[in-house]
Amino acid sequence: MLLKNILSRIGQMIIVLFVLSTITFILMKLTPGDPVDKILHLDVANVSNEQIEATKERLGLNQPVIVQYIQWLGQIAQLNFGTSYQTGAPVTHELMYYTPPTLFIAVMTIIVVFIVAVPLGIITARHYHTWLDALIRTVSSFTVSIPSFFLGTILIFVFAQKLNLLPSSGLDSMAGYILPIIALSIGMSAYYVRLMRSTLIELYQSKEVEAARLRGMSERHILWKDIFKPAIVPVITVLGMSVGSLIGGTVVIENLFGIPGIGHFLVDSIRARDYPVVQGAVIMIGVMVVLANTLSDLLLLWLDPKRRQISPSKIQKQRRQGGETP
Amino acid sequence: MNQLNIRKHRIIFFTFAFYILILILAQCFVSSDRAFEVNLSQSLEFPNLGHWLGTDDYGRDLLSRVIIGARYTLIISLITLLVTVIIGVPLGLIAGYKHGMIDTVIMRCIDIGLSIPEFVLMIALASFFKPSIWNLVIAITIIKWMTYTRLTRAVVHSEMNKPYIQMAKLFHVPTHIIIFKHFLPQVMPSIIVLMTVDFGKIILYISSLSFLGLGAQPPSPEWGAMLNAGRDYMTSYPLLLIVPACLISVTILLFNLTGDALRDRLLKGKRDMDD
Repeated sequence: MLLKNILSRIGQMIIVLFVLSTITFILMKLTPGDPVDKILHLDVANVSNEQIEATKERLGLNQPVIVQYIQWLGQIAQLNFGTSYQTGAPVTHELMYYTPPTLFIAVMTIIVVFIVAVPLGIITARHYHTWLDALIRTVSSFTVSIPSFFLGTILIFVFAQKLNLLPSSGLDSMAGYILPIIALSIGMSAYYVRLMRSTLIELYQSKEVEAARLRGMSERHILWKDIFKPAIVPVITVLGMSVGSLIGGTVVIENLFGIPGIGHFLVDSIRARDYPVVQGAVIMIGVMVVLANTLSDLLLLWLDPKRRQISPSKIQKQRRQGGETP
Repeated sequence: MNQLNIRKHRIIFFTFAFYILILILAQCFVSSDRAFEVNLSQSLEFPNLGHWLGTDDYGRDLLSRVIIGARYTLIISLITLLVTVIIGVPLGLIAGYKHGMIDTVIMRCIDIGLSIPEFVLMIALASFFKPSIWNLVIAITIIKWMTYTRLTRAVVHSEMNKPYIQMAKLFHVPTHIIIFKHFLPQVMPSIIVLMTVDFGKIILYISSLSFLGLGAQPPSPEWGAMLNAGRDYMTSYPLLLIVPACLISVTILLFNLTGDALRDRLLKGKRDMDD
C-alpha cells in the first residue's frame, strides 16, 4: 500500500506538470505578436524576408502547431526551455541562478512559521479561555488579514529606513533575507497558531487524554508523548497544500525587496514579454510546488500510520477536505 | 452557540454593514475630477481643509482617490465573484444531479485544475495578455469556479438520497423544480459563506497583482495600483502608502471576520462541506 501511495503521488505529479506545461504552451500560442518580431527586433531593425524565414525555420515555427507542441514537450522533458529573448542565454541556466534565493526564502519561512506557530499554538491551547489565549487569537486574526506586501513595506520603513538596521533591498549579505522572511512568516504563522490551537483543544478533550490523566500521567508527558504527533499532522497537511500560496507570496515579496529570485525574474520577464523565460519560470514554480506537496504527503505517511492503510484516492479526498489554505 | 458568540457575531455583522454603507455613501460626495485631474502645483500637500488626506505626487486628492478606488477594487471583486458563482454553481448542480460521464469529466478537470498552484496559474494567465484589470477578472474566474462546483456537487450528493428528494422523484416532479426548489436552497448557505471568505481573497489577489504591475494600470486608483505608485514616496510622504494599504487590510479583515461569523451561523451543525 505504501509503495502504491508513493507511485500514485508521482503519477499525479507528472500529470499536473504536463497540464501546466500544456497551458503555458497554449497561452504562448494565443498571445498576440510573433516571437520572430521579438528575436529579430523587427520594429527597429530592417530585416530581410529570408532572414525571417530562416529564423522561423530554426525555431520550427513553420510546422503545424501540433508538431511544435510535441517537439516542445520533448524539449521540456529534457529540461530545455529554449533561450531568453532578452539575454540570449539558455533559460535553464538562468533558472538555476534565480531559483536558490526563492527556495531559501520559502524553506526558511516554513521553518520560522513552525518555530513560531507550534509553541504559540500550544500556549493558547494550554491557556484556553484566558486573557493570553484571547490576546494571541485577536492578534492572529488581525495579522492573517494583512497582505504580506503591506507588512513588507512597513518592515522596510521601520527597520531599513528609520532604524537603519537591515538592508531594504538586494542580497549583498545574508541580512537581506531577514525582512522578506519575516514579512512572509507573520501572516502565515497566524493561521497555523489558530490551526494548532483548535486541533490541540479538540485533542485535550479526547478520551485518550482523559485516560492518560486518570492514570496520573503528567501534563508534559501527555503533551509530548500522546498528542504532539497527531496535533502536528494537520499543520503539515495544510503546509503542504499552502506551499503554492507561499510561493505566490514570495513572488510579491521578491519584487518588493528587489531579491533576484524566480518571482522577480518572472515578473521582469512578463514586463519584457520574454515568453520562453515566463514559461520556464512558471513550470519551475509548478515543479517546486508539486514537489513540496509530494514531500508533505510522504512526511504524513511517516507521521500518521493510519494513512498507510487507506487507498491513495481516499487520501486525495482528505487533502481536499483540508478546506481553505491561508 | 452561546450568548456571547451571538453578540460577537452581531457586532461583526453591524461593523461590516456600516463599513460597506460608508464606502457607498462616500461615493456621493466625491467627484472623479478631484481623483484624476493632475495639478502639479498642489503635489504632495499635507492633510488640510481642502484635502482631508492631503494630495499625491500629481496633486490629486488622496481621499477622493481611495474612495473612487473602492469602486474599482470592490466592484471588480464582486463581478469576479458573481461570474465565478454563475459558472461554478450550475456546473456543480449538473455534476451532482446527473451521475456518470458529465460528472466524471467535470470532476477530473477540477482535480487536475486544483492541484495547480493558484497564484502561479493566475500570474501565468494574467501575464500572457496585455495587463489590464479585465484580464485579472478572467484569470481569477478560470481558477475560482472549481471550488464552487466541487462544493455544490458535494452538497447535492449529500442531499440526493434523502427521503424528500426520493419522494419528489417518485412523484415525477420536474427536474428543474427539484434543482431550483430543493437543491439550490440547500447549497446557498455554504456558497454564501465561501463567497464572503473568497471576497477577501480576491481583493488580495487583485491588489497583489496590481501591485506587481500586472493588473490595474497606474492612473486608475485601484488600491493595489495606488500602493505600488506610493512606494517611491515611502520615506518622504508615507501617507500615500499607508492609506490604501490600511483600506485593503481593513476590508480583507472585515470580510474574513464576517465569513467566519456567517459560517458559525449558517453552517451550524453541518459538517464542513468541502467535497
